[in-house]
Amino acid sequence: MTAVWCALGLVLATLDAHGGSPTQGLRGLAERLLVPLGRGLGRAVAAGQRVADGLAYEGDAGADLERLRADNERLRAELSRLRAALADQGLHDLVAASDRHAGVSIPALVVGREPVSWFERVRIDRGLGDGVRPDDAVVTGDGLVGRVVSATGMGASVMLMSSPASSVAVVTEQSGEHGIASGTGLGSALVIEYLHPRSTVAPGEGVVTSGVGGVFPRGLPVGTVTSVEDGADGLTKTAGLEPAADLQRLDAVLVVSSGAGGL
Amino acid sequence: MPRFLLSAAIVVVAVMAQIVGDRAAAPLGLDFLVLPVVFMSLRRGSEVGAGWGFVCGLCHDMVGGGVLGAHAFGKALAGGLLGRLSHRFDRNSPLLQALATAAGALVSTSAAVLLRTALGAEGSLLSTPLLRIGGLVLATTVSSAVIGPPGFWALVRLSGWRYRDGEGKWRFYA
Repeated sequence: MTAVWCALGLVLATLDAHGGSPTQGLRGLAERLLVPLGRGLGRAVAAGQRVADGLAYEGDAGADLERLRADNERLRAELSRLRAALADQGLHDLVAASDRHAGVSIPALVVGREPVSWFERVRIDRGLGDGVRPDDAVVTGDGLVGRVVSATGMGASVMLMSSPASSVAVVTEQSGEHGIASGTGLGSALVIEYLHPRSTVAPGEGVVTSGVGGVFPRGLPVGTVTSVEDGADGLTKTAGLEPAADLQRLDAVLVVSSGAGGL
Repeated sequence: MPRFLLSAAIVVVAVMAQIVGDRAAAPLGLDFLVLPVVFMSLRRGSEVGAGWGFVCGLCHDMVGGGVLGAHAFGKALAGGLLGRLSHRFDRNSPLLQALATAAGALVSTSAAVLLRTALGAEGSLLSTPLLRIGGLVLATTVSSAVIGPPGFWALVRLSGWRYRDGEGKWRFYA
């Protein structure tokens, strides 16, 4: 009998790993039962963590709030100035097109995450029924998180950009170097490989999505360069990258959906 | 309470504990769903243990969002193996319960990782460095050993599956 149960698990895993439809039905059924439970418990845990963070907080909350308000005002003013500058350059159409293609933002909660694949994949509580489609970008307020790789009626799997299987076309903000950021499998750290040997990328430089490849919208914050080294082949450079989004603690995310299977 | 309702309640409580554990203390690799599997394997033998392993493993797969069936396979294997060995030891010993829970977590997590590797899925040795996987398997094994005895105590309290021996001591198993 043990062999029968093991064989059943083996068959299920094989079907699921190859995208079998029977397991999609089973997953859909499980989501109906477990998503509300995961959502509720996830909120409770997040609330507990916020309380714990609050207890450990030793700063001046009033001063921090004033500083954040000032930052907000400054950033709003800067955004208005940049928009006006674009308009002056006759780029009204570009701004309008950018707004049009910004897609629909769908708020979602992370309801499933395994320790073994902690920096590779998470499960969110929004799926096809909410307009989420494979290849949609997933972000937090800080920056890019990853992309949707599969979706069912009530949930979706998100491949994190820290997964070694993930590739994100990026561009550095100051030096304008293009590259591909991928996960290392070692925590949340990312790496940009095959940079030009004469690249002037330096630690501290911001990195955003380049929009090349059409999966991610252009300009999403990806992270900050932490180190630059010569590549193993001696002909290219490699840059280490600290993600802008806190991939260790993902709670609420935003799915940027085109509603048509990609951007 | 009917046995199937009690069994369902145990699984639901373990699932809730797993969700909270994964969210609040992921680096510890807590495996609450292995507890009822080991408990039932020691109590009822390999056939029942493997069945509980499959059900609890499937719940683990659903909660984690990984490959459906990987934990089901691993926990069914662990339940079956522990059930075969259970009668050879003093199952009332807290030390044995800690070791059995650790062994169950070690076997089920390792089997799930190896199956994922064979299938080329995420959370496998192909996509995650051996050091990280090894660290997590070790963390799961150690944390399971720690939660084993109190987990057994809680399961006995919840299920009422206990009796007093001739000396008046509470015993879990005959």
